[in-house]
Amino acid sequence: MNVIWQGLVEAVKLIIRLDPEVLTVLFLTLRVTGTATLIALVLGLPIGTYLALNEFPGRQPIIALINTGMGLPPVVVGLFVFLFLARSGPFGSFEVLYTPTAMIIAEIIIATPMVMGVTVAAIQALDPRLQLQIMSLGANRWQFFWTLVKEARLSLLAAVAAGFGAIISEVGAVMMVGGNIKGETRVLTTAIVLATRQGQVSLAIALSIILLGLTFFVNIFITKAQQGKR
Amino acid sequence: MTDTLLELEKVVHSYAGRQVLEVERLEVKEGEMLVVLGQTGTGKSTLLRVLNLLEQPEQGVIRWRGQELPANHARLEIRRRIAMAFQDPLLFRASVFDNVAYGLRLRHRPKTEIEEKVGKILGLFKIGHLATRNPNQTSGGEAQRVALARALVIEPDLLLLDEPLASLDPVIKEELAKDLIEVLHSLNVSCVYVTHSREEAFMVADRVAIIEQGKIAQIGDLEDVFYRPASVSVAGFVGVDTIIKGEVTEQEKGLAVIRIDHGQIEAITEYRPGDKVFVCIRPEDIVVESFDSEVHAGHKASARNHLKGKVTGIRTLGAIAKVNIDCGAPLVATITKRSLDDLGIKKDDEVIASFKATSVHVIKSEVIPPPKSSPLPAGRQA
Repeated sequence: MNVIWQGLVEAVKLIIRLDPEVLTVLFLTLRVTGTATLIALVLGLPIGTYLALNEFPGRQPIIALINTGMGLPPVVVGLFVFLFLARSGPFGSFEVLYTPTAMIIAEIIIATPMVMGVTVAAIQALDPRLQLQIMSLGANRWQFFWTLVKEARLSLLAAVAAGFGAIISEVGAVMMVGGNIKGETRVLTTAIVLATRQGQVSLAIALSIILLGLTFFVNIFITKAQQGKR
Repeated sequence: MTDTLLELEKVVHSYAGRQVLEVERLEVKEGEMLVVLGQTGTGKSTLLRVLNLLEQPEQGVIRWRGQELPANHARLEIRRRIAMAFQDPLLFRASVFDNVAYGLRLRHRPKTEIEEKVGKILGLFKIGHLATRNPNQTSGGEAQRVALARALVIEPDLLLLDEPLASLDPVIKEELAKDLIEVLHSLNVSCVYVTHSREEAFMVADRVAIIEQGKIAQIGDLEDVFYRPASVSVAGFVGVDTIIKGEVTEQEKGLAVIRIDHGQIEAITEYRPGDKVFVCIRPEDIVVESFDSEVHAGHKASARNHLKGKVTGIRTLGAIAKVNIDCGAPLVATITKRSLDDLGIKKDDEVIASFKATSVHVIKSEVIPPPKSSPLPAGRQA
């Protein structure tokens, strides 16, 4: 118990002191997961909506593939992103391995199927007659899409929360493709792993509390957007 | 030409290889309420999607104010002059105000205009007090008022309605029908109103189009279609319960005598002796009297037709009773429940059914070419 108590005290100190090292880790975490979540949304919402509304051959296998993607083991994603970005790999010449870009790519691959899969289900759960109603009130294509997304926002924001939660707590993939380099690719999760290994338990606990607090804080916003205008 | 808003010509449309719509010609005139009356699955909803320019028919021409429609991508401007509401309100997850403001926001209207117009239309539909409520805090009738306000707030030239009152209770239905017509008149909006209910058609229509299997069987003023149906099937659909086959035997200055099984009927018609016809009588035009041989011996009345018959069935529908009478041919009369009680009519009683010659509508039976193999069904023989 003593160790945990010390950790809590240390955490409060670190947070009050605005430790520059911790801040760097915190901002990088936000930048990487924020960017990845945003890109996952930009990809997942329109494609998911398209899949939900249109019938075409091959649609079902694609949806099955997306649903499989929702359960992709992050370590496997990390491995393949590593292999593709490694110097000898097909995209080696871009030299993005062990940079935040590589981490963002891995996290996009983890989060996009989640957003897409939930979007398909959420849009399909809407009353199909709503589509005709929206069009008949004079919506253009873009307004039509946006209205449907807004109507499905309860489920879609749950998807955002799940996607964001999955990637902010992700360790394996970001470790493999980011390398946990201090000041460059070290995020909260990888920093916690390192601190624990080095016996800096109180630092690890402090970082964990910051991670939990951050996730909670982001979810407050998501929940507000979700429940605010019911 | 100027008073025709939207016009379909030779429009044909199919779904999955099955032809669902074949409209030779349909005009929606400026400021009119055109009711499209037909049973479920006769192509009414498809017609609305075509009129809403959301479905491109396979063949045919659509004209908006006399102009042929531009290519698909340029249609939004015209599409935005049209709005549609359905049987279910299909409201968005937003306040009543935001629901009604939707169409104006799609059109990027300024905020002050939105507030003014939404306030005005909510007032016209008598739901101003609901503005801040959510749809799940409104009753069925209120929600439908919101849906109609949402469609009309953009002040469209044409409003399309798909069974807008079908889910409502009779009293609420009548109130809303009245308010809707007032709003349409005050905004000078043309309206195509699709329904399967002839009561609703009666409540709202200026003109009526009867649609049967994707085709317009008859179109005209409400009285024309209801009292002078062009075919037996239209007659059945507009509530003519009595349709009897007969043949004209005499003709004198427009008053004809028509022979039916076990009797004859006098009617106002120009058809000539020898013409095979159908005699149509609306149930509310038939007067039922209990039969008393002494009284009827010297009985005189202005109604030209008195048929003696036997009551075969009585069905009460609220304050109204439908009486089936067998006069050789089957007749259906509606009388009030009170008359039924006063007359004391029961099943198997003998009664006199009377109706004026002017209440009889005569349809000439079409000559149906005999099919190659099977013989004609007895009822349709010309």
